[in-house]
Amino acid sequence: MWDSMVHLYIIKKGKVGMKISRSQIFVAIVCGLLGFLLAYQFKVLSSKNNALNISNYDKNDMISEIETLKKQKEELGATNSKLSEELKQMEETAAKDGDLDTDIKNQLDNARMHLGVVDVKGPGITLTITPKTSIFGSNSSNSGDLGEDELVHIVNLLWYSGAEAICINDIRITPQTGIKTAGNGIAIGSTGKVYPREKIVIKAIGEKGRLNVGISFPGSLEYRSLLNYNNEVKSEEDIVIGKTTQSLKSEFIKLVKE
Amino acid sequence: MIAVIGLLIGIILGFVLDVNISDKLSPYMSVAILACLDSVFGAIRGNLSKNFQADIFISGFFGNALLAAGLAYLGDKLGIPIYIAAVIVFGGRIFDNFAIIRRLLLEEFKIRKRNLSKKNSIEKENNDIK
Repeated sequence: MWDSMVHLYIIKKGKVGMKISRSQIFVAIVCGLLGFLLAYQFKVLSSKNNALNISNYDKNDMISEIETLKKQKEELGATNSKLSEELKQMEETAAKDGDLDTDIKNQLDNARMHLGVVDVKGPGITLTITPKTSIFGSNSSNSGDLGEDELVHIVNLLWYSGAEAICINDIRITPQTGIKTAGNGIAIGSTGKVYPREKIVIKAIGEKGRLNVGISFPGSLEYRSLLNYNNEVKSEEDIVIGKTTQSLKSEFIKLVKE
Repeated sequence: MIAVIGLLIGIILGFVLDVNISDKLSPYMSVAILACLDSVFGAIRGNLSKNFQADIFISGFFGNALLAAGLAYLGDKLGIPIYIAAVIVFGGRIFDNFAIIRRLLLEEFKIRKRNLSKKNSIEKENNDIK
């Protein structure tokens, strides 16, 4: 195609040579650069695709592992509730027989309620947090999303307002439940996750009036990213909060004997 | 011819040499390559229509590539996919240029064929006269 630019000429002895002008050298260099870029980009993208394929395998493995773990969790949950039922029955029989004092039994039940290992019900409030719809519709930036700080703030506010039991999206908050951002969600202890782009329902049992005042105190629900969320507080007479599925650990704590 | 040799050398170098360009620049490079391809197609067209100018080709090659990559980068920072504009414009121009190249090549082919048949008929006539 560049034939018109290449001048063939015959040297004295009859040999055929090529006269190459400077512009032709530049053209060759530029085309070489294009070839290099094409080859390099091809190499980079194909290696990227290979890497993606490997991660796909990993993903499949992870999904199957998650499935098995979920099944295991369900089975363990069933065994756990069966065993707690048995324990309850044994305690009751012991209390009836007089082996266990009624006061002690009550204290034990109370402690269990506070620890979150039993289902509880009572009056309280339900706080529903939903993300405000963005004006641009497809705003996918995560800068305004709810994080661990906001949830910790709300839970702290509820405890301070006299809440006796709290759950976030039916995940019971126990004295050993930590709240931490994990991946694209927020882990509530080790039992579950809530996602900042979805509806979050926080239930608290306690004195309704006090809880309401605490949560609707000016600025309470305008903390950091909570500004980007709509919130609705509802007082209810009969809120049921399920028990935790997280096992409470007491590996290191020991009772101090006086 | 010389351009094809250059291209081949470039491709070989690209596969053989292990140059490390940051992964972040990869999307911008794709857009820049598209702009370069547009320049090359423009050059082929210019060459066929006998108005090729090396300086215009080289400046367009680097200018378009830098502008396309720069726009893509700016779009990334502003959150607007400006690279789509580059893709549409350069893609459209490549197709336009290719259509013109095709027409020029076909015309040239037809002219050559006509000349050849004319030549043959003249030779025949000459032979007949002899």
